[in-house]
Amino acid sequence: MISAGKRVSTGSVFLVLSIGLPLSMLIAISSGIADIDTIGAIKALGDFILGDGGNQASVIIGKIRLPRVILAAVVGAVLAMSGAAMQGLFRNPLADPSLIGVTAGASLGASIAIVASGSTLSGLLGVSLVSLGAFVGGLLAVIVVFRLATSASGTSVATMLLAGIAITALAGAVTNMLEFYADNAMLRRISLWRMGGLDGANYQRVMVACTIGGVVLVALPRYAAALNALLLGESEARYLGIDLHRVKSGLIVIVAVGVGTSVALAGTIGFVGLVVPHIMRMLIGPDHRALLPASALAGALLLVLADTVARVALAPTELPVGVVTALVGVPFFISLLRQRGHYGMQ
Amino acid sequence: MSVITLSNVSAAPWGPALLQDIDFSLDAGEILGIIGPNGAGKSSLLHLMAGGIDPTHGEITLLGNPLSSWPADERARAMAMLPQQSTLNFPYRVDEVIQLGRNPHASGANTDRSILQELMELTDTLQMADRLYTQLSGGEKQRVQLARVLAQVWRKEDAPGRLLLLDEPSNGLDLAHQKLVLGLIRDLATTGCAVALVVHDFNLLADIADRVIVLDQGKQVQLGDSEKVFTPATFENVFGVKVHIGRHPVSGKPLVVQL
Repeated sequence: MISAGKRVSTGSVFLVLSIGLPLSMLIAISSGIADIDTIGAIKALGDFILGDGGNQASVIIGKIRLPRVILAAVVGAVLAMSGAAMQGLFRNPLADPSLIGVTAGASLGASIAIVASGSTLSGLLGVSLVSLGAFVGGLLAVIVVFRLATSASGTSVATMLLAGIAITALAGAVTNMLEFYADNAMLRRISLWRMGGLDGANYQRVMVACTIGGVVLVALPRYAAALNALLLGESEARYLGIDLHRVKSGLIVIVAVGVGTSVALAGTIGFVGLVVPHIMRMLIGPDHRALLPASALAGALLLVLADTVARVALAPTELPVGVVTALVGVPFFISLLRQRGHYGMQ
Repeated sequence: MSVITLSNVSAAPWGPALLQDIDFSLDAGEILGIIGPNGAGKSSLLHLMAGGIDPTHGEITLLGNPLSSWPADERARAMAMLPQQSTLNFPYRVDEVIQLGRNPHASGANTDRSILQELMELTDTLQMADRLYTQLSGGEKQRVQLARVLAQVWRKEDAPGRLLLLDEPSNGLDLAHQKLVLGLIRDLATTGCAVALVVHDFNLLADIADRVIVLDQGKQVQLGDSEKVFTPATFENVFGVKVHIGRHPVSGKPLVVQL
């Protein structure tokens, strides 16, 4: 474990991550049921990009694995960076985007979409409808939580956490009620969707993820200096010239959009937003100017690898990626909790 | 030149009036001491001057312009505030915490680094620059936070006028470091920065403050130099204690001894 005060140099962390991410993506596209080795995968990828992708390998790589890997990378990056921003905003290293109700609201929205569409909708339209439901649900939940926590004197972070818990409980209860009325096929879809999965990846989804994810990944680092000041405390940040209301509402909206979109495209994937910023903070410290981009890179790396494991571990059956991230994330997180004294977290 | 002026200001952020009819003006280079019993509104007065609490009556002007009309970032270049308690529990290194005081300024990395170096030497925090803030003792944390707010208003050329607000800056400090910090505050004042501070040690305050304001139940009951304010009657009426006012053997300033 890392001893007190000792950090790894920021440069070396970025170096490792920026080599590791392409490498993990390469491993990901060359792993799967169809046996294609790394050289073959690179060649097939080249064929696909150059447009002469008629052979079987380049179809598998280009049309099936590549969009999935890109989606995993973008979703992982968005979740991890959003987590880092939320932890800074709430001044709580254990905060997670799901704390402010996004995940539960998105779940509810998706469940409503699944139950309402019933068996009439299937295929791409059905998937899109579920995604839309998740996105709208997540955004609505955050707006309600934000409204509840905002009074004339500003936005109370503590109230917001409590309102997040309340909305999460309410959304969970309504989702359970829906499950009560759902038939077996719907139930299975709801529970599969909830476990998280990137198996619906295609270039339409990649386009959506890259557009919205790109905006989120560019917008959040603009708040780095404000987040750094916020760690001192709210009144300290105000006296350092931070416009608290603008910063809080800006961060909340960006995170809601980012996480809502991620949940819509890939279901609920836990622990990436919690564990990745935590590890990065341990390595390079809490300065958000480095922490936000490092978390994004590491989140992308983690989710690409986790999804690869999810695909190949029980092949030909796929594990939901949320199960993999939870199985890896929870023990790691517990070990972090036990050792928090070692890196100055109280 | 007046840095901050409060004209008949009252504040009631949570309903009941916290401060009533506060009326004074603070000049560049002047040190104002704020005293009063617990709950008298000393910290509220600092937050009011810092713009964290809005006045319900009266007007506050900072460098000639209404305080409320100052954009947050410009205000932060002219004024820094050290609150009583710090809630920082993230593992920043000591130098990173102090560096945050330069956040409002766009003075460049080189200038910031030299200010940082100077202040870490002056506040005796240089040897702990690499340590984590969360692992420091109370007095060490206090010096780091002090260095942070000093860094914010340290340079004369950063703002047309400067104001430093300190809520119990000597809290948790040993005698040597108290002396160090008071010297620093005095040095800062001689460069033209106005200072308002809450301190519970009257003798320390008599030593450093040009003027003293006495608050009682949110009202300004006295304002003047320590010679005028520190009388047995004031302490009897406001604090409910009997004191003897002597003379400091070296500085000749009033010396308060509780009987």
